[in-house]
Amino acid sequence: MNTRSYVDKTKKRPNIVGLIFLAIGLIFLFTLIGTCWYTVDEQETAVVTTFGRVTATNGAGIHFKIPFGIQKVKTVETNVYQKIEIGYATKEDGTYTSVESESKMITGDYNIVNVDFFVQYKISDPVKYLYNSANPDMILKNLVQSQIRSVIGSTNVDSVLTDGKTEIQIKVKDLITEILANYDIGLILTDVTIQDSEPPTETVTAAFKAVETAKQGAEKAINNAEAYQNAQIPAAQAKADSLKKNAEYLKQNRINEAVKAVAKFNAMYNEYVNNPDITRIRMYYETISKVLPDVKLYIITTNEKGVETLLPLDNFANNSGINNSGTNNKNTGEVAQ
Amino acid sequence: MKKKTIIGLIVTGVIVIFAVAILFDCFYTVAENEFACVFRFSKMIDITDEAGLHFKAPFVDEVRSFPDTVMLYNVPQSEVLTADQKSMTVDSYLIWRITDPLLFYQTLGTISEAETRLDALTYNSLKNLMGTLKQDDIINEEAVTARKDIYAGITTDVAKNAAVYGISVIDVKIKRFDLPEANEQAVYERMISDRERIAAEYTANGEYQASLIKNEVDKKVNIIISDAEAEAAKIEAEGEAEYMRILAEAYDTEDKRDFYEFIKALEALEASLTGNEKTVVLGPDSALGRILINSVGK
Repeated sequence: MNTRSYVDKTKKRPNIVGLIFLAIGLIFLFTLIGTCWYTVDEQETAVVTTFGRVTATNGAGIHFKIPFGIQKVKTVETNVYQKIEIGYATKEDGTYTSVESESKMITGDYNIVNVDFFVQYKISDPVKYLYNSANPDMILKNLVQSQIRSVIGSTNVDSVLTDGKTEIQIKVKDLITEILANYDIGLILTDVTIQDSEPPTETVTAAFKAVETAKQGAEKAINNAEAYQNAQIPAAQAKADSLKKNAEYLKQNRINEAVKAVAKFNAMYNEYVNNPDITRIRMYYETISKVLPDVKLYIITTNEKGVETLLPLDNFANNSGINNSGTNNKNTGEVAQ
Repeated sequence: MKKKTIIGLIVTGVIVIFAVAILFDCFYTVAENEFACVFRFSKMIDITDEAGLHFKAPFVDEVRSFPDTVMLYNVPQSEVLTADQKSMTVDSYLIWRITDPLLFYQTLGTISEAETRLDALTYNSLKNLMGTLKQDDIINEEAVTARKDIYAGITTDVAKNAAVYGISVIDVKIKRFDLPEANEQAVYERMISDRERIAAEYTANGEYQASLIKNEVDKKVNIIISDAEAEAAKIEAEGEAEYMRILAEAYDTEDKRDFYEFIKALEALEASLTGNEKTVVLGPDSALGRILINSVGK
């Protein structure tokens, strides 16, 4: 029994120990295999260090490394455009919250504005990105903030709010790019855009809008004046044309009057020359007899004392004693009637 | 025998562990972004920034590492007074690195201690510089470069003072330079009054421009009419001239002129005596007078 039990024991013990060793060995082996390789995503670059020293950078795919912490791998998103939001923050559900402490700034002409910026950058050098600075992304964010304020602080409020945005973006980008190169932290700026720029409070915004309204009003006044111009000038030209045309008519009319007068005169003269004296007398008395009925007549007479007196005559129409002797004009009789 | 074997195994195990420990303690690694300082009995005997595997004496040598990398320090916001006694809020940041780890360890020892000193240095430098500048010197529309020079002065100043700590200050930049919140309301009110003035200017200018256009139009209209009237008069005058020429040509003989004069005289007589209440005084020797005297007076 004793020997049997001993044999049993010796047979059993190595089995258990062996299994444990086998298990440990397998775990060790799997861990070894598991830590011997790593994969790199298309977005990333892997930086491999051997005993802390950078020995390789690898692109996308599967790669091998020495395990036991001898080689370590850090992956950096070198291909991804990173973003910085200044003055606002995008929440996970896509809505924005404004960060006024970042967006509120003073302009060169002592105005306060709220300006939101969106900045894009890339990791240009993964080794520098990892080792040249402690927190490259925060350094860039601080740098962006400082340069934004520097540029806005040199710009007047109208440029910031309206037509100066492009110039501001370019200036900010140039300044940051230059300083970023000096910092040498493995980052490169790709884009700076002003997302939004507006006056600080509602009442100030209203005042700015009132300026826009006034601008529109001014343009409207000028447009109205131009409309007035467009209406008045052709009207005046029409009137001018009418005046000229009328004058041309008057000219022609006057000429025609002359032609008519000459025609009449010539006709009369042609008859007159046949017997000038008698025609003259006839015409004279015709005229006199036409006008005299409505006229009061006075005749100057001289009495014996040589004093001139006015002899009034009543209207010829009431006088029947007119003698028609002394004239051969048959029309005199008509006067007497 | 059994006991000896077990003890032997334990002893061997301890020795092996010990040996491995010694072996491991002979090496240290240095990362790319650190300085490694080897202290032997608390004295620094070696400094390296060479990344990789390094050797040291086991147990007696202690390795401390310091960052060999650019660090960002966010200087807390503070209020400073300008030369013209205006209060302004300044928020800045600082970029620095350790250049002399021994000096750094001797004088400060830790990063947080270093930040405390840098904070004080920066605040002092800012306060001093701002104390020499008027608010208008700081806030203006001049080129960015002018302000860049001002701020470069702060960096130089802080860098000079930080050198004693084995620290290099690479850059100090103002992140925010704002009026204190208490002043903001006043600024808003001024902005509003500015805008009102500008709006009034736009309105007045628009009206001015409009009246310029209208006046110009009125002038042009009047000139057009005046020109047309002048031309019309000229045309009419031509008609008159033609009229006169035609008539003058018609009375080309003495007889014709005589007859014409006679017609005109009669016409004039008729015209002057037409209408009521007209009075004619005749001389006694006039043709008509003689006739009338004969018939009435005698």
